Amino acid sequence: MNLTDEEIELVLEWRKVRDAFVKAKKSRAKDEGGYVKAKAAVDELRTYWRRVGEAAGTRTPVAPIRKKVG
Amino acid sequence: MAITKSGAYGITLEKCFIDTAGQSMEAETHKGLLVTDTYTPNYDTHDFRDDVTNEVSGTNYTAGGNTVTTTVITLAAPAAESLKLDYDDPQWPNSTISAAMAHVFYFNVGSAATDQLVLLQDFVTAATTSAGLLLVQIHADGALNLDYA
Repeated sequence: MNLTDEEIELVLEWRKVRDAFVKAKKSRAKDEGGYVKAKAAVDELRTYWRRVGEAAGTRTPVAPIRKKVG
Repeated sequence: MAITKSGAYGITLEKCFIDTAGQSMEAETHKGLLVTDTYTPNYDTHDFRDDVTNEVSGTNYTAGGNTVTTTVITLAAPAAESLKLDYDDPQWPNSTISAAMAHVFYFNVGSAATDQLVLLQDFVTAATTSAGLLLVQIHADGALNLDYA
């Protein structure tokens, strides 16, 4: 698979955010604030690109499971 | 019987609520496997991986599936008063797999008799690869949403 420079940049950005989150998970007991911040970053980036893909029709996702508990 | 809907496995959910699952939903050790439509999930009674039948097989697919990465629990997502469970798109590159109908996410405790089932996502249409990428595309809203109000 050949990626454009822009796509490579996006992949590298994602890996950086993801790795920071995985690392923050391990050190959560020592740095709750860092964990919360890293989690928000990974969720925001992943969700954003998924929405872009879904809007563009390049992603055909599995429907989420929705349960009402309240 | 067959897979007719996605769902969360109740017994593991209960264990999470009463603190007997012994697992963090956000751990990076959980796994996911693929099954064909012949498996009939019972969300009330199936609790461990040995309850799951008709797992797929094929080139570049290992029994038990592979690790699910970057698991995240987010509150107030995808909307207010909702909890979202999300993870990276599970994938099997260069695989030859026939008629995968669902992805089963589970806590990888160590064996089929102890691995705890969390949820099953029904593809609705079976997926087949021939030396290609089998990519389970998780929705932007995540894999599981629990509305708590």
